[in-house]
Amino acid sequence: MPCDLACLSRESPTWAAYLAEVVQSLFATMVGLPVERPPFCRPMPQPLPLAAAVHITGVWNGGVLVRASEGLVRRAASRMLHCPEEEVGLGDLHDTLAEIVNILGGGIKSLVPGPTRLSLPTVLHGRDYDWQIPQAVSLACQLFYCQGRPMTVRLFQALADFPSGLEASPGACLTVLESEKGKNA
Amino acid sequence: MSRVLLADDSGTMRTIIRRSLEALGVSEIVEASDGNQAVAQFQPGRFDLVLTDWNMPGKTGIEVIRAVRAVDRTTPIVMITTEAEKSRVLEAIQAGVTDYLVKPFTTDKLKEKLDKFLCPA
Repeated sequence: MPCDLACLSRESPTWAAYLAEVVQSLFATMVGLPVERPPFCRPMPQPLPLAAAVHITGVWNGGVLVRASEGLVRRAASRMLHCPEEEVGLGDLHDTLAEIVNILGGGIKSLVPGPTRLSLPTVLHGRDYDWQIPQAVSLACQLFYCQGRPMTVRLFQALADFPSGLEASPGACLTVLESEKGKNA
Repeated sequence: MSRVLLADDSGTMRTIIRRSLEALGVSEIVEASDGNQAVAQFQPGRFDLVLTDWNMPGKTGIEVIRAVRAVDRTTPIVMITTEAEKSRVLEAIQAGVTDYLVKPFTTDKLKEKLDKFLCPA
């Protein structure tokens, strides 16, 4: 069964609120559509075949990982590029998601201690991957819907930023799974 | 009639900005998808405005600004970036940026920012 699993967590309502604010601001201004958080706990929607990440390095080390349905990214691209959804190409999908995670990363970067640097975004598109971020903990993971189309946004931080309180085992990592394995089982 | 050099590695962002520039009557928009291309395209007197992202492959936006300012002290340069911290804005000012716009932005805000640097069509 596909899942989204944080092996190590330091999740808090404060980080979740920061994350929600940054995501909602981005969609309100650049996409022109509201994003909503489900009012109650529900299973993580699957599949979310588009994923993108940026990393923040410096005094604070971590990053933002976005996973989204193709429908959500297609709609966002359509709105941002002012073209019909059927005219949005694969390159547009990847580029739009890259820009979304880049802006989210910039928003988070402005909230954490500096100086820090923001990496260029990376995009992954597929149905059968395990994404591992070694030596990292999850600070927040939020599920959003934009006109019924799902997206998760995760904020993570390097274990090395925590001088105490979290024991870093050699294999500790934040693992995000997007796997079709077992779907038909 | 205005000529603009637009440097951003995001094709989506270049499209958004290009549409606003076209709506403002800009006659020539030269696009660069990285900092090296931007520096290679720039010539003193060729453009009325330079727009640049900060984080790009090749030369960063700050390096683009420094390269432009090394040969041209007057062409306005607007940085359009996710980098929102005061220290980064100061770094850009020290490099010679004319104005600064933080992403995310509304189209109205973008047009307002660009309009003051563009000649009437």
